[in-house]
Amino acid sequence: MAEKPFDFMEGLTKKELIELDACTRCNECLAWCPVQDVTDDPNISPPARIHAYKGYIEKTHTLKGQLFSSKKVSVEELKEFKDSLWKCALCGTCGEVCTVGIDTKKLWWSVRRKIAESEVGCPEVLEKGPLQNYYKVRSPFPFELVHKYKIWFPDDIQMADKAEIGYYEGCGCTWDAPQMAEGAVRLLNAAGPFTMLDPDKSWCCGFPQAAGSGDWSIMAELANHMVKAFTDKGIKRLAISCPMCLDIMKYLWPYFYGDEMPFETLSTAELLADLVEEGKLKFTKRIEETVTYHDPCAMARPFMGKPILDAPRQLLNAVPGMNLINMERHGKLSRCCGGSAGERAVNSDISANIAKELFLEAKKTGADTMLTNCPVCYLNLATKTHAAPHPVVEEWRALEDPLKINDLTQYLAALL
Amino acid sequence: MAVEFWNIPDGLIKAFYAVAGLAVIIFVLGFWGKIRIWSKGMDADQELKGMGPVGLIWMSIIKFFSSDCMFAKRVFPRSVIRGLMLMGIMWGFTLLFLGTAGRSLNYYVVQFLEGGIWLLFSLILDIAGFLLLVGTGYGLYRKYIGKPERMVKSSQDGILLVLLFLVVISGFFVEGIRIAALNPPAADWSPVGFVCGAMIKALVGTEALKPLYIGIWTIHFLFAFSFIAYIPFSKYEHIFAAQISTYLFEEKWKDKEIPRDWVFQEEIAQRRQARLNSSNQQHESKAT
Repeated sequence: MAEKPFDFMEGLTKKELIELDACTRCNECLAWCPVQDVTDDPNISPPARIHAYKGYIEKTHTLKGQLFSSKKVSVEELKEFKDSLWKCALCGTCGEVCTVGIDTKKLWWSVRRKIAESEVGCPEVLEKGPLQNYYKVRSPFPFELVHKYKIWFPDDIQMADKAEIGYYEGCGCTWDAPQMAEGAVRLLNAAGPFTMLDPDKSWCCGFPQAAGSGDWSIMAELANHMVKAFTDKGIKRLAISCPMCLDIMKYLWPYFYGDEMPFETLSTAELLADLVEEGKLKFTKRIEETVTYHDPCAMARPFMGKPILDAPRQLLNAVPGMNLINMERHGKLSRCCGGSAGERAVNSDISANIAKELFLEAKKTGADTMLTNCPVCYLNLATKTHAAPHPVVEEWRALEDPLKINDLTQYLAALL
Repeated sequence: MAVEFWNIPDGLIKAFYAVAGLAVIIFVLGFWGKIRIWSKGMDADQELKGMGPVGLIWMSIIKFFSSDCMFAKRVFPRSVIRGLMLMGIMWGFTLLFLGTAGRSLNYYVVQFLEGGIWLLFSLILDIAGFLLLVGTGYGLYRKYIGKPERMVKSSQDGILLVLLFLVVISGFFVEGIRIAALNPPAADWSPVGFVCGAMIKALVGTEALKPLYIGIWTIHFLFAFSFIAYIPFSKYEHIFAAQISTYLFEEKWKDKEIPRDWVFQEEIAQRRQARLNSSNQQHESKAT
């Protein structure tokens, strides 16, 4: 009996199937796509991917496909498609500018899951690394969780055992951008008592699994464990530094947990902005500097949540003397840093060159410092941790009069 | 009043019906194939929940006539000229489609296109054709002359635009030749057709109008029906889908704290019940 061809349609939603037919190939997205900026290859553009994937579905699900084409998609073709799919940084700009409202960010996410299920699977570097690590240490990084806070938690700060305000930094902050986490706890500490999970209980949010491998089997276990751990700490308001974690925890966890979160989940910037407004947090030092703020993709165009654009700006405007200016592309149309959704790991050249484009755009503002608020952006733009910077990044960082790059919370913590 | 099949031999009229029937069958098969695929998708979005093919077709029609779609809401912020181009194509196409349906109704069922109604009808369809012509003309210009810096190359897209352009221009020629040959009263209510007719008459003379009419009429209907049959197999299928995707994107946050998709409400309720049951059991076992 002939082998049943892989079903590219199964598991896709009605909306996603409609979206595949909605693309007009108007080419608007190509003008905004950061990957196009550095590759100039329309074959790996959103319309090309939509056209290809639609073709796979038509092969097995339409009369035309049954009559006029082979039912099976060749492995070579599928590998090529997978490469294209993983060259995308899932920044979501294509969806934001799409003239027919295709929610591409979520569409690529679903298509990635489908391709991961097929015979070509995930990129090996992820499959054997972050995705496997989860099963061993409940984190995409290979390090034991008990060491989680040792590299960044400040000795001069004491966290409460239980408190209404909780903080979760996210694995990316701990291992790739510890400065972010340190800045956040200094600010939270200045505003009052806060608590965090014991390090061994502070698992991954599940983003790499959900967005990468399609292994959702672990999500329910993970969400239930984490929600219970946060609740046991008496947390009512949870600040999360990593915007990818926030998106997953706020919008996907309720599905796996089976209820609304028993606590409020916010980005660290949102909670800090509230604390400033409530008068619990004040920046006392004056700084005569011009800064520009880079809206990370995960905050400007989240997978599921609402964009978080105002809170970081409210915080910066609360600093005496600071001059905040926007880049030409900011807010919902901000540029991508090139690091997210596996881009940095799978296609480091593309990732570094996209980062360079963002850096050059920030330079055009004449600002002294570019701030961001995402561990991936921070890592890709201002690498100071274990990950080796790409030669392209080294090149632009070595420019005369370099633009300083910093994390929002780390920067603000120095102004308390 | 409307003049159907003027100067067309019987054999050609039969061929017209045969080609029309074939085109409609191909269109319906292709269109149904698409809608069937949509309806097999997972039920994750409240707006599309439980919808079968008929519900999806209905939604496609309703949303096509929404202001977001008819006024190209998501195109204008990106480019005013492309917004106008799209509106020209969309309004022109829709009016011509409805006009053709009206003429068929007038010819086969009940005659109502007479007097002032006919004049107004002629004028509106002429304007619609002109809008479609300008829209497709700009589309061709953008694709082949003022090319965007980056674009996905697709010969199919070019063929479709050329085909649509030829359908409209051949339609104007057919109308123009008929006007030039018959010189009906109030022909200036079809201004584009009138001008086309005058130009063709000046070029080929009165004698050649009748045979030329048969040739261009044949080309026109072949182009038109080829286009119709090709729609569901080409990127023009977006005329059924784009209004739904636009609607879902624009309404994503309306009255909602969480997005409408990913809200697997029933499953959430089931999981909640399972969790509560398990918690109750644990509680009871501890109590005993």
